[in-house]
Amino acid sequence: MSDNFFITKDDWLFLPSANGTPVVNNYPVHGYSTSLSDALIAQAKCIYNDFKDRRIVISLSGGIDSHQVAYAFAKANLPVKYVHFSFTFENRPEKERIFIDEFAKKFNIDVDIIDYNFSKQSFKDFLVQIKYLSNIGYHLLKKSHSDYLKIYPDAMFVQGNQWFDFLRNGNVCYGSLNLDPYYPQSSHIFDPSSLTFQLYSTHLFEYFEYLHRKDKILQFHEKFQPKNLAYTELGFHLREKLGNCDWQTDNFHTPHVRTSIDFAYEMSLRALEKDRRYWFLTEIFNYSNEQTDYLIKKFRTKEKLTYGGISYVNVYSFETEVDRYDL
Amino acid sequence: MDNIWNTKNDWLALYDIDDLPVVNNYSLNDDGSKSLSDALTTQARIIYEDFKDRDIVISMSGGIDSQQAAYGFANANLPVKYVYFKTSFNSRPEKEQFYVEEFARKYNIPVNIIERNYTSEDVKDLVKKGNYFKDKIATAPLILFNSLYQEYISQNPNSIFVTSTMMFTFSRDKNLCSGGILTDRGTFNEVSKRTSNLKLKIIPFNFYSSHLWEYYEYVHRQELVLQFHKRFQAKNLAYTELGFPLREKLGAFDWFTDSFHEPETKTRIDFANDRSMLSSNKMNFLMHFWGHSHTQALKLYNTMSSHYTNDFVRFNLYSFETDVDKYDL
Repeated sequence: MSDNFFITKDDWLFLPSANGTPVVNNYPVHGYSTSLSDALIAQAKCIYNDFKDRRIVISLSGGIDSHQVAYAFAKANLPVKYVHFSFTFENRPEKERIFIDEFAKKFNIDVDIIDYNFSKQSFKDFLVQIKYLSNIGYHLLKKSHSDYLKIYPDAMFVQGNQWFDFLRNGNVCYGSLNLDPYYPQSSHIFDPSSLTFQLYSTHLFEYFEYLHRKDKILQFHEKFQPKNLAYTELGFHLREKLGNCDWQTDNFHTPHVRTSIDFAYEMSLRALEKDRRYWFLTEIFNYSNEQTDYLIKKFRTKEKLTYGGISYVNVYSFETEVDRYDL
Repeated sequence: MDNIWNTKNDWLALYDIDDLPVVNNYSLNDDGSKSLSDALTTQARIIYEDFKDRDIVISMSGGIDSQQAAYGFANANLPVKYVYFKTSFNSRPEKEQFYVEEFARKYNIPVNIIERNYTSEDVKDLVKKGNYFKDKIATAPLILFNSLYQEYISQNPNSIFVTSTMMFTFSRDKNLCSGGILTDRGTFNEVSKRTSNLKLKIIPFNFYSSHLWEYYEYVHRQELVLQFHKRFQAKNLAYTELGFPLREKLGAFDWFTDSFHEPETKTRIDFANDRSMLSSNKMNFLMHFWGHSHTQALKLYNTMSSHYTNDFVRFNLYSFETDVDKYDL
């Protein structure tokens, strides 16, 4: 049997190859948690128990994914490390910083801020070194983790990415892993020093199923990303959509892709990625607008060859009667 | 001059529909509410105390505005009536009924569903009577719901409606935060027009007394994240403070669409701008009821003078300095 590309407890979820389809080996495993808070805490405790001989590091950004992870460990009062890798550019900070500072204050945790302050030249070198095509966030994360591991080789990073959707088709509801086209390259799944909080054990998905079966409004949506329950169940603040390298924009509060919570589709980042590339090419590499347009077009063509469409792996399904409200 | 709005002791007054409101009496009270739930409940109690000799009717839709009003009364356990006007077109119902029913179940309130099934001719009639295409401030919900309110009141003369359009926005310009009304002229006028037509029959829940807006000021001064936004519509606190479920954007007359769950304008909650879906109604009306093609409808639509497009109403109730601008670039 091949190795599991995911780090999951007892291989309950098994990914046979980097571009393969995950297989659900064992689900459900536990009893249902009846609140998101309980499910997150149970998940954190499970991870802590299995990795307590390592330096467990919660890598925090300003977004709700990593904040849910940090919430869980903080609420469970577990002795882990909270780190924010701050990528500033000529002392221009990322805007997400306010969300980290406020979160740390509210939940009374110490966050170690590790600052990478790029100059124009050092950032240019970095982009050349990683052969930047897309997903700058992944490359920045990889660099920061690699640097951190040199100091703390026993570190185990806990990541907050959430890939799960509630879906409905007619009278059937599904809870599905959403394998986004960015997933194979964007994720840290091939890194043995990182695990994905949401996937590690089944607690969170079991809670999602419990809630999905119970709550008709969640059933009524044709698509809903349960990560957004953090707003309505945990009271997390609505916030601007965060992207990496937000220092490249002078305005963090517009346009509407920034200030919109799209509970069905995570689309905003791609719109921001385009602006980001444009800025990198014109400001860092000093290309003309015409050259930049040409290169961006070339990027897009290559991307289409690299990424496929979204695929879903159903963890559970059940029948519903909310389709009577459809037209 | 008369106050167009029905507000307690005229604390907030609108003397001319094309003008801005005037604050006659407002101050942040130290003993005010410290949670949205408490603020809504207190606001409901104040309204109940002032109008308990009348039949208070909470007009509900599936959206978070009216449901916050209903929450206030339900949480205070006050003996009021909850009504949902279910408007169907050729028996195609509005999708929001689902949200009304789920809310009623959760908060254990009886909602009286009053159904009106319109035909094309009925709608044309209403449009004509409401001067929909000529009156600059006529909106489809206005012409529709005013007639429903009037009909209800004629049958229940002691009733008084509580309506709720939340128009309150937190704003920031560098190191200066402010709170007040920031909305498109269409929404503002719709709220005002409804009140002016039926002044003694309609209570605007969110600003009848200053209680709710005092809470907004309190939380705005308290929360740095709220201060950091350049624009944030306070109505959205219902999601994070009350746990109201995120939901598709509801427009009046969703009968026109076959899909309620897409495109993304339906599933996006823009906390900065409440992108009104009202203006699309005129196009829909022209196509569905008058049989115009999309091109013809667009041509006609563009000739209509409208207050919706670029005109905004801005009015500050309070302002204060902040240091969150240190996080700006």
